[in-house]
Amino acid sequence: MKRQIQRRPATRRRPAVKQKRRLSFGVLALTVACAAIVAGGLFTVAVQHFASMDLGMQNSQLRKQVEDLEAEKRRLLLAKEVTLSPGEIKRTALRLGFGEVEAVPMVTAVKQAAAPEPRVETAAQFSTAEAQPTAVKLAAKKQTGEVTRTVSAEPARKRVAKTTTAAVSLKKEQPVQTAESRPRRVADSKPVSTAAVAKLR
Amino acid sequence: MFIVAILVLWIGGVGARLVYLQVEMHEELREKAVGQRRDVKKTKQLRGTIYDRNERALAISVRVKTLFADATKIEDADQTAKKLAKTLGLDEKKLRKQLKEAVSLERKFVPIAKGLDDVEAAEINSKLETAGLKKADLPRYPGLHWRDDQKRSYPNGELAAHVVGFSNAEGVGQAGIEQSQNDGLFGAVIKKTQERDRLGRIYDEVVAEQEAPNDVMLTIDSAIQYTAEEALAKAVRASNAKAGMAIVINNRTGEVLAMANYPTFDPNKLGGITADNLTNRAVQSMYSPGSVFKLITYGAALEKGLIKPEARLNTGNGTVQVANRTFRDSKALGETNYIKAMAVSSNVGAIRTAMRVGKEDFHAAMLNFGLGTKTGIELPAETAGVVRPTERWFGDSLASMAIGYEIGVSALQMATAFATIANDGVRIQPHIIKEIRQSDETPVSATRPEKHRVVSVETARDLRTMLREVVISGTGKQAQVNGYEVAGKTGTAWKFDEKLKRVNAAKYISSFIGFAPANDPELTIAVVIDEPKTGGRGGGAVAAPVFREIAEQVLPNMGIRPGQTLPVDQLYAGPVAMDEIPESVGNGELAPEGDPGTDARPEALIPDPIERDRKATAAVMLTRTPQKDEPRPKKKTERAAPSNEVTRKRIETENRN
Repeated sequence: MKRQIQRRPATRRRPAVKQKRRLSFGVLALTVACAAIVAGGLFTVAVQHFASMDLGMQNSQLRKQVEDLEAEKRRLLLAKEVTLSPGEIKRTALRLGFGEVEAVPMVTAVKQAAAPEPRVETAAQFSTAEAQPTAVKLAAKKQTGEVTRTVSAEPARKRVAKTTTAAVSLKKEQPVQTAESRPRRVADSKPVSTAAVAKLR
Repeated sequence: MFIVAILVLWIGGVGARLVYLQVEMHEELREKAVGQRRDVKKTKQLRGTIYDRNERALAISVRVKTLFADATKIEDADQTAKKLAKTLGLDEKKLRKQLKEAVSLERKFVPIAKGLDDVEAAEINSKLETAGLKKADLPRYPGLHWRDDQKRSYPNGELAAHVVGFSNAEGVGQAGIEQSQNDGLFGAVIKKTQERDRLGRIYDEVVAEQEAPNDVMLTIDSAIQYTAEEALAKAVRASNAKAGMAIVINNRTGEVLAMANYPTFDPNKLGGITADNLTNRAVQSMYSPGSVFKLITYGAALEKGLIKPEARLNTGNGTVQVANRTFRDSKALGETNYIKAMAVSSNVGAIRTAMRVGKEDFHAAMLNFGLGTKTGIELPAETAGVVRPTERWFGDSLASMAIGYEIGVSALQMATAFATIANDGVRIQPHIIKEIRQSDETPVSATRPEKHRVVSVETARDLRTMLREVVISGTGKQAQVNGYEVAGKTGTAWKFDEKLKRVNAAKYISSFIGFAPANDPELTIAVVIDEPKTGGRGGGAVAAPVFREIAEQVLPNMGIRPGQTLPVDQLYAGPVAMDEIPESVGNGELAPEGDPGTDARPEALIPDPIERDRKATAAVMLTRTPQKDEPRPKKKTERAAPSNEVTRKRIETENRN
């Protein structure tokens, strides 16, 4: 027997197909949208992840830079202190040929109870050959700074000429040390490096 | 179906593997992953810095690097040794042996080079660079790594070495401020957890923050310290002395501006440190002060209202016998006043004054001046000195103590006593730390010294008058400073000999303590020379010039204006000229039993009273100056005169020299 294929009318087929197509499109669109969202999220996460990694690296580099700069600052401070230390200044001065002059102590004038009225001379008078002061003592005048001498009337004695200044001064002297024995040199234009300081240990 | 089955099996296998890896092997793989990217570093914070009062660094730590080898990761010890020896200039054989031994013992830390700065480290990195080697950290050489370290440096070398001290390799203070303030200066260990990518770059770092160590600012002035050290060293070398101390104190604040010791050491060179040069004698050693102690004697009498500076004092023939001991002056003054007795350092004058004060009041005065107790200065191992309670005094102890024997004091204690008088009788606790602060200069604490009144303003003024005369016309003339009025006291004491366990007349402690300007004292300077052997032995000859040298440089630099011209009035009109009277030295002589002259040899060692019999002795006997018509009684001491005369002449000759 022939099977009768009943055909549906064409008009009946179209709504189902339409609906199927609509559904497929919707599902597809939804899928695409979800995929896009997921992809977008993944992309955002990836960007943030790598950005945070990058930030972390920059942070670490900056932190290291700060530490390095602080360490360098300390080293420079150390080099500065070494250069400015009194011992180093003295060594440099000696190397340059300066010497140290001893201060001459000032002795207070003591008035003898039995001594007659003293005769006061100025420094100019004293420098003449005729003047032969004997027991001379020096006294400093506060107001004028003039040095005067009080000369006693005791019998004359030969006076040994000596300086009267009490100031400590530096004067240029011939270097007294040989190249082998002179103190440690300091570089003229650059500070002492910490390596030099390290070698002290 | 077959394909599906295969697919199902394949997926099942993969799933099972995943389960195994992520469940069973979870911890192990996690640790491995973390280990690959995470690195834990421990670094120590830099030790706190020590500054002087002008913010000059006296002790500072700097970052350095240590190159070390991890023997477990060295592939070829010979090659590594050769490369390192060439790069660093080390002994290749020694290094090879060291590395091979480390490899066999699987040591993970073998130090190769220490104390290198960044420049040197970079140079070494470039020389050790191995092409094609993937290594997270530098240097790019198998088995070699860097470790951050710190090195303590003292840029001024020996300057204030005893005050600053030093620290050992572990960063623990061993002396001075480094030791006493170690807790504040010590840098804590910081733990850094770093995460690295495959290229070794750090992308995450967690630092466990610790409190930063403190910085310490001292009261020391580097310039004054240097001046004091130079002057002291020169004097000690010139007199061939054993040691010396010098202290400079600001009277108004109690700040120690300088504390010098000789011999000294360089804290940068720990190998040069010995027990002898390490001791901070200014605070850790005690000595018999001798005549400088007469400040306390006369101060006690003035405070009690027993004497006045211009009041008459009869020193008789220059001897006084107390219990079983005879004390002498270098030259008899006869009738004088207290100013002159202090100026020429008359022992008889001081002893008679102390007798009037009495044992209890004298002891109280000593304690009131801070003797017998520590000053509390922020330095380790300070000595309190020795001041015996009155129950343990002998019959002549009061007399001995009046002239500075039978007691032990430190240089700082005596300097503080003088600073008290300079400060109108108010004792300010001496201190050496000005401020403690954080690394960002935020103050943590500032020193607030204790103050209390010891003597009245009038007593302090009278004492300053008496001390001024010492310098004008007494034993301290060599302390005169051009343009400034100076007041002070010399001291020349026989030293207690540790080997002989008694006072040794051949060894001296020579000192001078004074302040300037005398009318308004700003600074007190104490100088003590231990066992001068060459030249003069007296405090006026050895120590006073050091005082002068320090004061001459320090006073103008501190902006202290010169005072009035020194007066030339002579208050003393006795039979002997003032400048011919040397300082009285010695702790008296025992009255010998039987023949008084046999023991009075010039080189006789005077036994230490503490070692003598502790029985109570007879009451004090004072020699009376006979009246005009009164017959002179015969005394045992007269027969001893010839030998004592020899002793006196010897002492005078030495002082003159």
